[in-house]
Amino acid sequence: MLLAEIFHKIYPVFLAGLVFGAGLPILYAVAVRLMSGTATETADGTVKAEVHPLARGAAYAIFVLLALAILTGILWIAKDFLYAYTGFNLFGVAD
Amino acid sequence: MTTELIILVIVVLTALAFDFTNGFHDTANAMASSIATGALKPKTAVALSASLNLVGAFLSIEVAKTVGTGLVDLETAGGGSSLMLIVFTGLVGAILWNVLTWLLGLPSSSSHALFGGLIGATLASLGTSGVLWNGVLMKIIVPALLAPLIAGIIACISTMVVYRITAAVPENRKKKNFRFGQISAASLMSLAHGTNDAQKTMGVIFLALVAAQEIDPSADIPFWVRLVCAVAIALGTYLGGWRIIKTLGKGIVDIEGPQGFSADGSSAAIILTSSHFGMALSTTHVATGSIIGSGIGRRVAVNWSTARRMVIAWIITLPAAGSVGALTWFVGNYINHFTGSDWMGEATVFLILVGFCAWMWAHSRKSAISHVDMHAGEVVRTREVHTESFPVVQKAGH
Repeated sequence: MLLAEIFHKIYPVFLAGLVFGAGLPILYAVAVRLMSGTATETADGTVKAEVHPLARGAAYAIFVLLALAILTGILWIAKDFLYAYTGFNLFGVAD
Repeated sequence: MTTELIILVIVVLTALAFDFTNGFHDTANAMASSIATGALKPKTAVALSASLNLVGAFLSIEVAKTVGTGLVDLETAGGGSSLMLIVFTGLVGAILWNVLTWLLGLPSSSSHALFGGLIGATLASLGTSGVLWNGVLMKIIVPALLAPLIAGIIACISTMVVYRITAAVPENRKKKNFRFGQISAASLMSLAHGTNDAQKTMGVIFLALVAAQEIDPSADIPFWVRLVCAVAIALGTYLGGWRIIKTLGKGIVDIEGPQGFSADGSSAAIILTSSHFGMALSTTHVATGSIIGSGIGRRVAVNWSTARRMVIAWIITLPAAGSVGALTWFVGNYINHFTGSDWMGEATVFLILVGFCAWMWAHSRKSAISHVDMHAGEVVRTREVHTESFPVVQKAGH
């Protein structure tokens, strides 16, 4: 029963870590990849990387999303502070 | 000045000393990989981390006014001078363990050291009934075993996928892009560290103020307590535990840009979410696990002998800090008992603390490690060779 208790406590921690801790860096990597474009060899033999406008748009969208995630992180750290000084319970979980 | 006041001053100073060691011990958790990948210059990294710790400390509001809730039952100590001695010797145990592990260059959890010291002092004073063993198991031992595992798996997955996705991206672009991501993650970790760790010391000082009847238990934490705790942890962070930064950043695995980014991203996410999802994990264990995991994910050699030394240090943190806490409690208590003095025991223990710290610091100078040893990319072993024969100024020229 102890192992079950431990497992019960640990799997939400693991899932949250996986979603944010691996998910967000992977998203960032996708954006970096999109921004680097596809390399094409031109007639004279030089290699040129071109970024499709759609890919660029998608990359910017991901960067905005990640910036919001970082902002959320800061607000998350400050949630109890905000709650105590402004009474604003941002995530509904301040103590 | 009354005796109570003198003891209160000693305890508050000791608590701040612990806060300071907490800072320099943990700089590595947030900044070691940023320094190793060259995302930040060593001095810039510690300055950034210190500022964020300072801000973070002011953000902590729900200060745990009862230190070690769920671990030790200090109610039975009855308050006053006996409670004060437990808190004081607990702190001494924690500081000595922190300084010793720093000397050995091993990252270990400052929270575990604090709880270990308190548990030891409580055991010595109140016996086994004063310790809540189930709490110790579920809040300290289990998380310590699981944290590096969880962080390692997540960082490993993240690193593997990140490398696969960006395989076609040119090196220079990769380096530039991931640098920004890594600094963001490291900054979040520093801010969270200030918020979580400074409040432990605030709680200890509050407890001492209550025990000395200087403050009402239901009062708010006074502003000066917040201020001194924030400043102490920031100063400690700025000093930078370079020995530990070296171990974590260069001693276990070689760290590249995208990999350091994955490791820091994983650490930051776990640190920010773990306590909300049911189990608070120690920053040190998470950061170390992430770095090792990221190395496995990139398939580089892991220095398992260093990793093993660290794990051993984590396992003995609790009993080691506890033993010192208990031992110094006996020393302090019996000196007071036999001399009939109210303060000589505390004063002796304080001198023991200062003496050991000075000795370990002097010992550290024999093979000093500072920010000039933190060259990005390579594992540098040059300093050991000619440390003693040159004055410090010349070493900066490497």
